[in-house]
Amino acid sequence: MSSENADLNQTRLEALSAAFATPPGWGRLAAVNHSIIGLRFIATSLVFFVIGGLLSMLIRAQLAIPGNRFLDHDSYNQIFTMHGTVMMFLFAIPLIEGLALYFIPKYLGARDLSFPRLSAFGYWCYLFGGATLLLAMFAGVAPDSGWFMYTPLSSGEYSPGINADVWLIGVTFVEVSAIAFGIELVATVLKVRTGGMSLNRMPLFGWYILITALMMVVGFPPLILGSILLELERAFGWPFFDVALGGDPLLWQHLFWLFGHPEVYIIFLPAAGAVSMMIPTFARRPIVGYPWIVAAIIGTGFISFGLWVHHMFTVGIPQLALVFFSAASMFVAVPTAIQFFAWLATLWKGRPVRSLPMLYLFGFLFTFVCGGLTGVMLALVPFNWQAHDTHFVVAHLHFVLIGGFVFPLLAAAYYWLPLMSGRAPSETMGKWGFWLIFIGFNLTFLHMHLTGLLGMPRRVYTYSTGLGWDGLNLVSSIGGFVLTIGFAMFFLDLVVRLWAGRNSEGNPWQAGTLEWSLAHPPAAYNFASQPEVQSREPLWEQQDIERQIRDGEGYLPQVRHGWQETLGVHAVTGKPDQIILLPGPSYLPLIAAALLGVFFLGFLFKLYWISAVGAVVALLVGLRWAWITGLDRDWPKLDAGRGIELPLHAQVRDAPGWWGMAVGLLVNGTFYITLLFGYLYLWAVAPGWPPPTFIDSPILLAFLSALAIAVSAFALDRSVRGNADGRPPTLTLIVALVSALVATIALSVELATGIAPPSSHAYAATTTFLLGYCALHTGLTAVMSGHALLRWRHGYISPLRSLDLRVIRLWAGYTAVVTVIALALVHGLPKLLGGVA
Amino acid sequence: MSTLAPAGQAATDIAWITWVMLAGAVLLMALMSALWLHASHPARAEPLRWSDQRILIGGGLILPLSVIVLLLIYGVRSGQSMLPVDAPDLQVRAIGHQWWWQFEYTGPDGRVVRLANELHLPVDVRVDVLIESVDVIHSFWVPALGGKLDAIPGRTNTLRLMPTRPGRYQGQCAEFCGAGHAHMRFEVTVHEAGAYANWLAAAPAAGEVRSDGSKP
Repeated sequence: MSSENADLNQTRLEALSAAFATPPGWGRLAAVNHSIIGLRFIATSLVFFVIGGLLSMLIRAQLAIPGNRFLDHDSYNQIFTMHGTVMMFLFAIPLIEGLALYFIPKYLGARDLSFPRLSAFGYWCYLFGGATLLLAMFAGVAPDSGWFMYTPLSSGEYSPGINADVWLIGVTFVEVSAIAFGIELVATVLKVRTGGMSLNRMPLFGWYILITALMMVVGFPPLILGSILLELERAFGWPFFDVALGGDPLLWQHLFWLFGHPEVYIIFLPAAGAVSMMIPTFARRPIVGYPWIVAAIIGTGFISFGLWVHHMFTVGIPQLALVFFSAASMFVAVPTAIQFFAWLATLWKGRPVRSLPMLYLFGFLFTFVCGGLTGVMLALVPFNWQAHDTHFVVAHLHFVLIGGFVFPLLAAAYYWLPLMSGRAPSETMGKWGFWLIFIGFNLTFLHMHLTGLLGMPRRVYTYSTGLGWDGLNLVSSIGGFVLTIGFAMFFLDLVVRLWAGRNSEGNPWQAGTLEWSLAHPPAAYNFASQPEVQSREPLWEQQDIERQIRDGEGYLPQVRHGWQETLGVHAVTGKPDQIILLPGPSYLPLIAAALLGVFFLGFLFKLYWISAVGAVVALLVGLRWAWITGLDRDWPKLDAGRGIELPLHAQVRDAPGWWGMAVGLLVNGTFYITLLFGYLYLWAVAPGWPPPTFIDSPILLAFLSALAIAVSAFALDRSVRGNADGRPPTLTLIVALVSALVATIALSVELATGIAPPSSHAYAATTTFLLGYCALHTGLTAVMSGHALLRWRHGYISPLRSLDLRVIRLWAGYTAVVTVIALALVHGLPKLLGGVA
Repeated sequence: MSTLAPAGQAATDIAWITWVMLAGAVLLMALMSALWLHASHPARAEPLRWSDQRILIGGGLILPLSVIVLLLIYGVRSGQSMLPVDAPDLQVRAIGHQWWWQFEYTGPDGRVVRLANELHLPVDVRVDVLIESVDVIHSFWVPALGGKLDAIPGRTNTLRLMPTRPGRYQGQCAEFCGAGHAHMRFEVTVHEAGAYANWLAAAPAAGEVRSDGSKP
């Protein structure tokens, strides 16, 4: 390259930097760039890891000797509850989110995620929710009913304090970020890749994160629903779980574990994804069995939703169900075995090199296989009857989570750190750290299996001597401290390296995937131009690709109008089909999350008017947020580099926003189906049914609601079609608005007059909740229709730019379907199953 | 309190299952670790020449599936035998309270005996323990006799036990139930054949029942 060209390239890169820059100072609060948000997630989750770790030290100190008086039962119960809650909800899940937010665009050859502001919003929700839990702990009112919060122990009668509310509200607040993440990552992996990256050329990490994100989309709604129901019971006495009034404590367990078991795989899969990226690098050959692994990931995703009952083998359920869930729990070992043998074969068929990450990966193999085998043991029902709720389970779950999550991520930390930090690895301290962690871990947990088999239950703050547990516990406590020293070593290594490590550049591990073509650390825009990829390991297969990226020979090399652009591709083939304009820094995510915090805090302190204000203002901010996205004029196709022209995303059918709404409705639909499950479950299983009275309102009212919302959905469909033909959607939008309002009013009348007070019986509570859910949706349909009307008047909608209308049509269609089903159930079931007490 | 020193039929069967599975797990652990250490060793001999399919079908499908199927057949048959399918010889009620257990016996004469934290059973007799709760969820567990079963408000769960060795054993609540969970213990006495009837006849009608939840 001549010096003139080099200057031109330099100018180009400076323009890219300027377009993707985050403002300094307070402006950092407006950051939306995926690298920044990803690093914030990672750093915050590590802080929570340290806190969770310190809590575990207190637990081990208390259990070191029998009859210890170091902690009383009250502090101990708060500490073990917080240890589990922090590690699961505030460390593991957010760390995965952070890594995926940071790395996915880099693996996929993209410049950012599909909805950068959404992930910024998710971060603030996580931070505020986590801070709520932490502040409660320092105030001595942390949750104390165990991290799975079984009712009725966690209900108002047996946990009258604020402690349980802190859990329900804090964790739900954090879960908002998980939902945001799920939507963000599904849309990103499917749409925001570089040219030529078809699904079967996508790095396996992309597959792992896609399935993980889908599992979060489907897995978290049951927990959120359960938390809302329990909070309603605690706050207003709606007896969903109160057996005296038609509720059932087991409903909570079903909802919790419907989330809780997939959760384990949500944590494991991304870590396995990191393993699948490291193994080929260190074996110096492509992965063995790529399609097998993809099938195994998908299989894990499916099976993991079919085995939640193995946490409930001792609640007294029919033998047939036991056999089914026992078998499902064991069969999940098959996809895991496929992955292990694919990794093994990759190493065995390659030319493996020694490295620090490989050492940690051995720790992963040993620990996770051990945890998997004890998992198969626990899946066997008779054994489970003995081992359930003992220290055997404590040992098992730590082998699975530390083995399947912490060890691979320690390996990944050493693998990725040169890229993330720009500092080269140093081996010595990392090796010391490994041996301390590995030995400390096994010294804590390996023989804890025996402690459990000798009869020590979990969650006891003290035990008496003479049961054969004393020595075992003492060794565990000593091991725990060794383990802590090992982690301290890791953090020390991290600090030393960030401060004074040698600079790193290039591709230190000689890996084959795109992220290693980036600068160390990567620029805010990642790729100076987005490459056309022709294989799964472009850095191994495509000569000169790093130079081509750098010199702007890929897609979207130039900045125009100061826009942040990234390529959108066909979900399957990877053929470029649009230019996605990314939103710049904004305070809106922070403001929206803060308002959501006002809503949640109002609930926590039982100041419900504050909650109401927070919710309304948050809705207004949300509308403002929606208002400022999109384009106010039509654009022609634009040059995308490499000789092709592409339309802007707001002008194509297949825009990320549409996928976002579709995945959002998948979240919502899962929530709804879980709600129907709860409704039918109580009806069929709970003692205390039938209720004293059923719904009593004119059937015509229900028909009116159903008809009105159907008309609204139909009118929205007409407005999409009319708009496409160049007719103004004014009239159809007004019809949609008015009929959605009519449906809302009819549903509200039914709610107000037709149902007994929700606190009187679980039937009234669930029916009210179900119809309330519908009324909320019809109301939002009206709001959205009005919003679209204004948007159209201000020129944000045109025959080419129809995304707003199509997104609302999707919403309204969903609303119509769920409302009609709910009304049919609410009015049909009493006639079908009948029999008022 | 050990599950590995069984004194009841179910506990004995489960202890066997435990040993068999532990041995299998250790074997598989050793196999996987050895394979991994060999495969990832930079100085090992030639790369493996087997086809990808062969490795994945063998290690990823046949190996786990055969282990699972064998285990399921063994486990389901064994579990079936522990369920209360036939009629019991004796029934005892166990009612969980925060934080103590109330046991209720009905004598042949219809006399009801209620005791706190004291369970008496005859040896070699099929006993059904009817487990209930008056407040939160507890779990009834006597490791030496058999598995645990939860005490859930609004339900009655039935646990089949058959003690095979007379003696005194410990039981405890296994489901976290709040402040006093760690102290929710009870004593189990398995009587020699015949001695149980004598004990029941001599037992006070309402032995040491506490209704206030204080530690008996």
